[in-house]
Amino acid sequence: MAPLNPRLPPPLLRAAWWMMLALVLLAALPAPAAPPGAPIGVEQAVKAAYLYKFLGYVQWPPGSFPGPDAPFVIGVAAGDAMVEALEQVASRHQAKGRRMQVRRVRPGDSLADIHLLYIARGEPQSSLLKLARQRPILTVTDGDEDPATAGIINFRVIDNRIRFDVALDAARSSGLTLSSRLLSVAQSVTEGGPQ
Amino acid sequence: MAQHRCQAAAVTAVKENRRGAAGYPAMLLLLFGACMAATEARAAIAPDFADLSLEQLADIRITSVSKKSETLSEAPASVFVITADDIRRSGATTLPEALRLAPQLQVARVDARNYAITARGFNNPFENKLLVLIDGRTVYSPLFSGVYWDAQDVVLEDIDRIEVISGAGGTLWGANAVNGVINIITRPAGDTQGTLLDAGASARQKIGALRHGGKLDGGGYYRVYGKHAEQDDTELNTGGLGFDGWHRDQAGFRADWGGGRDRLTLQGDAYNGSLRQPGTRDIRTAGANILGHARRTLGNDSDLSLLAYIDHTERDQPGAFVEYLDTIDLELQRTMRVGAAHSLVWGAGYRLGLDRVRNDTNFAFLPGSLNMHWADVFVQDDIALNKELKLTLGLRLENNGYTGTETMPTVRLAWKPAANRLLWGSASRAVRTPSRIDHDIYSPTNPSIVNGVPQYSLAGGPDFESEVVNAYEIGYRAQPLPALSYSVTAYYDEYDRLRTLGINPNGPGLVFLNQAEGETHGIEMWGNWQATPAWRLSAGLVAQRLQLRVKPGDIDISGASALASNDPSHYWMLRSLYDIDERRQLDLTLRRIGSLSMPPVPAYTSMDLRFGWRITPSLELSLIGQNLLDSSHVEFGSPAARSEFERALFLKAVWRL
Repeated sequence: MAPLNPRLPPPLLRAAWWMMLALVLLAALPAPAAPPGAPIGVEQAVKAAYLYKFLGYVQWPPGSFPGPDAPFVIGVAAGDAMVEALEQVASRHQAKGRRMQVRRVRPGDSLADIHLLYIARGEPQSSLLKLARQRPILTVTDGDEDPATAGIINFRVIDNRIRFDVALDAARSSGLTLSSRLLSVAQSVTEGGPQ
Repeated sequence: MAQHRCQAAAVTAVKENRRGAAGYPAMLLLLFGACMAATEARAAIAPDFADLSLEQLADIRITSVSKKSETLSEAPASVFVITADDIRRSGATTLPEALRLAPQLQVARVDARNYAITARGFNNPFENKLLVLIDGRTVYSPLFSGVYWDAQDVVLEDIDRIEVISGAGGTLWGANAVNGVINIITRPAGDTQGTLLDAGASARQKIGALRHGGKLDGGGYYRVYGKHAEQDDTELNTGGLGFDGWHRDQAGFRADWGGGRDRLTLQGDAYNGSLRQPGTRDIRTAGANILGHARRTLGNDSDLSLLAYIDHTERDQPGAFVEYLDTIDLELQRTMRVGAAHSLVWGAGYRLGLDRVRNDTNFAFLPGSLNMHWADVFVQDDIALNKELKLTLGLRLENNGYTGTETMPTVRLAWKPAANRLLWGSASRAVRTPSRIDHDIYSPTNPSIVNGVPQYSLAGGPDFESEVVNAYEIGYRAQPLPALSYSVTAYYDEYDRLRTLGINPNGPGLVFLNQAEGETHGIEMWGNWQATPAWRLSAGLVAQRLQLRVKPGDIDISGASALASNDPSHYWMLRSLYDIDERRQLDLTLRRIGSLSMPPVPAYTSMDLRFGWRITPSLELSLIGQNLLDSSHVEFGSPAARSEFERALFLKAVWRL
């Protein structure tokens, strides 16, 4: 390191040293680890974070998990980016002390052990939803304008941000209990949702 | 994913080129542009969204719709954004109180209705170097060059965010953004659906607001609101009452259509207020505005915005003046990407102010009736020099009726070595153009006349020029850990042609001149630490020094007329936001303002504590303890008589039906 100009008066010299020390410290701070794998759009990352958060605010009926260590199983009918975004979240977080397992689902697949089913916009959803509604599955759809075909939670984009609606009756008929915190953040809560 | 697709597309392009396809460079440029956007998006997700709360997730913008707001977080400037959640949890009950959340702002409450608010010094109730906009509508008065804080209001629950940019912002925001800009931005109507009832009261304050939002036939959303606010007189340090209490009723609406390529907003407000002042009947304030804002997305990073509004204000201040001001404003803004490296924003605006003043006997604005015109053009280019370096060049030309055309350039350089670090520097020039108070104010209204010459004791400022600042800043922002972020800005600002009240060279009495100059320097810093998922700490600190002087051979007697500024050497704040459980919150704000010298105000430390309890999903109660550390304190004004602000308990309920 080059010596500082010795002609600087002592207070300035001290200030300069502090400044340099501060810069060195700043430069030495580690950058946060970049997420592994392919880059994911902000929209997918936010939605994936929401899905993870939802798990913490929903109560599944007893018997929904085969054991105390059994994972949350998240079924995804969506593109690669969304699956990858969810896998990233699952690799770093646990929900209510349980791991998360991400599973891609297609129409006709069994939904036997799935807890949360996310169906992206444009995916064939009616058969999956029909099947899911008979089970304790938190269904999440994406920008569905028609409440009859929307899930218990339905994402909506409002002013460039992702918000969600909740259909409370649909949750009840699936045997799920939603926390008040979740309802308070929801854009709208409908009581008379699809049965 | 996006990057993979980019690479795949680039490979295809190269292959096509080998086969002799024409236009390869142009295509590569286009692809580079697309890949850049994807890389930016990737950088933006470096923090793990899963660490955020549900409310925070709901506040994240997912694409770049507005170039300006997108660049704000990335901007090479000292920017702080007050979020809706910040406001809710601060327990702030009025708009000026909410501004205390911005660490750069110095907010001093003068009495029940007056505030002195500034950034970077020069504070007094006539503060004139800070531009304030509500949804793009300027509320800076061209009569007295400042903001009548006693006439501005919004429903606090409907605020989306308040962007506070300290430092010279003339290039993008125009004249009078000398030391900063405050942008108050309300939520789109689609975001405020259903019915909300907000009621709160303390011993001296009552606020009630009712808002209803719904869907419009044909796809849009709307909201309508009504609000009442009132504040009792403050008590003076001398024991008497301040005669400064007020009440105000306000109603308004907002409608939004579209959401994809085209967005249209139509909104308006109307208010009517009554403000007490000692010795006269009440001051009457009234106003109404209607504003339209159309935005069209033309492509990747390219959009067009057209903002137009009409604003009417009335202020009947007994013993002073009656003012009727109508403002018509039209602003066009275009953002576009040119090639791979240039991101351009340019625009033009025109504003017409029709000012009608009925003068009283003590002083007069002459001529009483004046039509004012402002016209501007601006352009700013963000140039990506390489992956890490961005150069910003901007220029605004703004014409006003007093001083002709003013030039407001800026040069900024940002170095972003990693997604979580930004080092930036800037040099900018901004001006405060004359207002009627600088140029047109005369006292007394009917002077004696000697030999045909009116003997005014104050004869306006016929030669008053714009005040000017050359501002230099260097700043650093970083997020060293996902849960920790901070910002540090150091500035050095040179002011010239500052307003003085001097001896009239051409007649009797005094005139406004531009005979002061000076330098200010300081440091603004703040940080945010999400200590645990349930506990967030934030802190802010400003240390500053102003060295102002009258030019040799001149005098300034405005020190006696409250035009001089009064600034602390430092002020800081500390906030703790704690979620006790998912229904209850405990939030604490501690702030310290250093002492003021002229007139002397002792330093004070103040603490607010809020307990928030969401009893049901639709009902939230907040109990707010204000100024808890002492029985009362003063924030501004002469020791001869000034308002004291007492410890108080504010109870607030918000129903969402």
